[in-house]
Amino acid sequence: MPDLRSDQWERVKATLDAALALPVDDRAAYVDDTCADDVLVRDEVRSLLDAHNRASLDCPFTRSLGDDGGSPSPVDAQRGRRLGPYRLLEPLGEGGMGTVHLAERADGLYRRKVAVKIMRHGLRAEDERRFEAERRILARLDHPRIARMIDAGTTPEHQPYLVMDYAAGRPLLEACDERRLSVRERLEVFLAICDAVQYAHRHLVVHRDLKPSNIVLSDDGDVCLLDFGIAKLLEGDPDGAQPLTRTGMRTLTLEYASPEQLLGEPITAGADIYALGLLLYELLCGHRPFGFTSLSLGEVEDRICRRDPPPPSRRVGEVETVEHADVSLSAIQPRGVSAARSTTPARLTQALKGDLDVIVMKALRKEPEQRYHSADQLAEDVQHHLRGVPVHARPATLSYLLSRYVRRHRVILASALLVTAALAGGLAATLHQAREARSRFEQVRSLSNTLLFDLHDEIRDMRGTVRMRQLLVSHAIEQLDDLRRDAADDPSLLAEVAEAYQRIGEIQGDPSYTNLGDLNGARHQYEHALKLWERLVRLRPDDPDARRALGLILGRLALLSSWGSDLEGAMAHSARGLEVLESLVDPLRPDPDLTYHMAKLWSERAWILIWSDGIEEGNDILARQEPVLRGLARDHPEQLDFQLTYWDHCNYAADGYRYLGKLDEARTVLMAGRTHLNTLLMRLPDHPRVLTSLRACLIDVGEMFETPDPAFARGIYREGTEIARRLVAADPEDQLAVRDLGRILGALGQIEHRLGDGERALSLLAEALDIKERQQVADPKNRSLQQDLSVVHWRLRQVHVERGEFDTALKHGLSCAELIEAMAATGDAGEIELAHLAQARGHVGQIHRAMADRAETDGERRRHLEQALDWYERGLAIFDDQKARGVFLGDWEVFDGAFRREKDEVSARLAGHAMRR
Amino acid sequence: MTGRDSEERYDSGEVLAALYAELRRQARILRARHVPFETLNSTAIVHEAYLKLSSRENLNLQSQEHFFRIAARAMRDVLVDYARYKQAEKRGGRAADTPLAEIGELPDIKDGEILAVHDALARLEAFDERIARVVELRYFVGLTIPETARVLGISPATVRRDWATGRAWLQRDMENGR
Repeated sequence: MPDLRSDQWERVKATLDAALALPVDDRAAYVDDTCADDVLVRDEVRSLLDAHNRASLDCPFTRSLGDDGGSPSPVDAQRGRRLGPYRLLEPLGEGGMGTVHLAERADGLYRRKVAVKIMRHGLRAEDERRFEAERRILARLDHPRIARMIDAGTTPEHQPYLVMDYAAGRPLLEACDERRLSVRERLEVFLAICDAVQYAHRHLVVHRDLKPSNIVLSDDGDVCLLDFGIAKLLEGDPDGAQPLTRTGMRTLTLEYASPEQLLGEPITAGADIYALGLLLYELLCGHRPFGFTSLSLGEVEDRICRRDPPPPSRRVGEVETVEHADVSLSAIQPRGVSAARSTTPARLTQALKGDLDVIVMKALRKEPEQRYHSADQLAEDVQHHLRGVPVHARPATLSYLLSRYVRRHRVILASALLVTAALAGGLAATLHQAREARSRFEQVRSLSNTLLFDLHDEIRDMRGTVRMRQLLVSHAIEQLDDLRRDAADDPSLLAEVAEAYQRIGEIQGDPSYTNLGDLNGARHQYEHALKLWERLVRLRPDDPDARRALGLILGRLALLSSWGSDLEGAMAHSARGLEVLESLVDPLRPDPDLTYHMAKLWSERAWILIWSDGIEEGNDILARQEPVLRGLARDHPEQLDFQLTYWDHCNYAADGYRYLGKLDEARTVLMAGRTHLNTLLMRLPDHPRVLTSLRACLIDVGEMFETPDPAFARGIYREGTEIARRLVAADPEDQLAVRDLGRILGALGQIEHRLGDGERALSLLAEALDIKERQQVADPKNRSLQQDLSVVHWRLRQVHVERGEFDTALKHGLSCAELIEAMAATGDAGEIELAHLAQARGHVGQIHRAMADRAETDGERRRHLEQALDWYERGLAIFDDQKARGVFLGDWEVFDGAFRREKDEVSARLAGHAMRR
Repeated sequence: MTGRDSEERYDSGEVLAALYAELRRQARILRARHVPFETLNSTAIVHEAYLKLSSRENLNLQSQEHFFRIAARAMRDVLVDYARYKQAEKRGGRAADTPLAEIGELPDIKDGEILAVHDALARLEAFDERIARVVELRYFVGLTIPETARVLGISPATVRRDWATGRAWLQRDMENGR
């Protein structure tokens, strides 16, 4: 290059830029003209112009975001060209993948127009067979709304090309706007799209690149989907086989990419569901979920993978500036958007609020499994919305259920309003009036019962309803406390109020149900119920129903007491409960329900025994009840309670075997429970109670297999993690679900570490720590949460020690010891807990000892040795104390011995230090 | 260019280390999934490295732009390093000590082109720093025109112009240089 002065170089750049804006043929003349006064500049511009036409430089690694101004390829030059039997007529467009041309058969075989898509990037020889195989699959798609693949081939330049049905029409969004289609009409178009997508999914073809520009709306209002499966055809199988081109992610349209596509995870039909969600979003509100215009790529990824978009209804009122590929700008405005939907901004917002928001958001969930499971399911919800019946996606809130209910049953609305008024105004006042007008009282009572019981029962097994149940509970307790006083001698009212207390206890904290985690509250309600049933039995000694209810509440109280560590109370309640139920048995009239409740009470009693001191007695009882419960579960498949209780029984039996050291038996019975629950889950997929049981089961199974078969345990924990995540995602308020997720993550982390994946282990443990810390902050006095947190620190300490990361290990070791110490300081610490504290302290000693080996100065080494000595001694002091009290267990000898040896060694080294001084 | 010396939040050694760490991680993932390395994605590497470094402090756009300016150079070094390593390997030798040795098998990238662009770019930046930066971000990191504009604090139109000029200039230089 000739040496140019900087002002000449500036002129070169300006001239080159201006020239490039001109038609090719005019450029040379323009340059000659403009630079007539400076030959150096002129020659330089000409030479660069020349080079520009040959320039092929492009980032070799990354995706391109469509055509963003690189090199405009001469699409037009292809006109008239022949590819196989086809003659190209005119260019239709150009995109990230390549160019599209309208074409016809050159041999005149038929006159129908086709679209020919020529790919930008060539195929490697080894990819051609796969390309051909994929093409055959696509060619089999035959649906009126999917553009058919007719043929494919390769140009002489080795660029693959595809021949497809030519669908005349306008791109979907533009067409809908131009025709001012209303929301309802748009939904109908959308349903037609879902139908086509579902058809393809049934044929195992995923579109992978579904976006508005790939869908056309013909003049007669029919939709047609283009490019079905083409993205996969070109990208290859991301899970294994060779990619078909060297493009990697290039062809992906970022704005319509799903989280899993960006994260490089396996692509399933879920990606299309997500794309349908994006499509519906934009169809409805005119905006894309995320405004990407002013964002960096990292932020875009963050939005797609981690942030929830605002619901479409909220976007209607926004003014958004959008940047197009050619860097030009335009604005989306409320007025324009609603006019294109033949409505006003206010009405449009109203129309989208509620069902449509929820449907769209469900389709857009980050986790594929949380989205609609199929295009059909999505379509069904849209249809439900159009018909005004409840949609699946909608979380069941009181007001939503009522609103749907009210919509369909306007006649009942009047009486429902009465209940609502009574609830809002406080039932006491209403009751007062009711005494004077008995009939009105009855009415209110039964309606409030309907609301409390029926509604609660209906939503109990729905996921995501904890918050609403909480609301119901606090309302209901207030009313019940009033009702209780009024019910004193009215048997029928007594029963109803007792039952209400019982239900509320169940919602509040019964560990056998998904609950609000308030054990004491639950116990309190159960005790109210117990007193009321007792009074009723006194009033009506011959009423079998009252006695049965009394037996059952005693059973619930027994279990609840055992959960609250009141074992004596638990045994007393359980014995009384069994006695009451026993008195109801009539050998001449078999009553499966009674049999079930007795077997359940027996097996729960056995479990309490196992936890206290009667392991053998407990195991005997369980062995006797096993055939009863198995038989009930087998003979009454419709009874979910029977099924779940059988699993509980397996769980108790496993505990019994474990405490007797019969680990193989424990494993066998747990695996039987797992099989039982998996079978049940197949019948009741997504049922929260089944999922909850399975989650607990997998934790136990995993734990039991950790030692003999860690790889199997890992698989189990992964399965468990997935289920726990589903449950937490469905209902983040469910504390039990969150607790168990934390536990499984911790256990899985430990196993991953053992199996050699330290990185994954640490990230799992970090997540577990985060969960446990947050739970602990929310409920600082909860012992089992403190314990869980100490376990996570324990595990993190262990992993970091083995990785030689002693500073971090020390941090976790200290946190662990601190937590256990705090628990022990509250008084009733068990011996096992104290032994854990001894071990935790010894572990801190071990870390200091290791750090001493790494110390760079004598002073530092000495300090670590002193610390180590101190911690060993503090740990061993606990063991010594336990030995003195005769409660030291053989299991702990390993630790005791190791800590002592190490302590002695540390003392010796310290003595050596002292002598050297 | 703005903010070049106003806030040196990241030193380039740190950035380089983060990029290598990320490259190692991606290489391992890709190997584990048996995906051929053509999917090496330098944009993703740089973004991940940024997320990792920035998690230590408050994220703001300013610092992200700053990061990208440094990372463009660092990514260029990484790739050039790798291209040399690859070429040395082809000649049957081993390149001198490089962090890439730890990474193991890497993709079959256009090592010749990378080295040629690197050399040509060295000549270009001697008299037009801005164009060189644009090319670096576009070629080595794979940023789009709007992204490049944001990182450099100039208009998209300028980036487009610089990219067209830079591409043409490099094309000619590489043709003559070979």
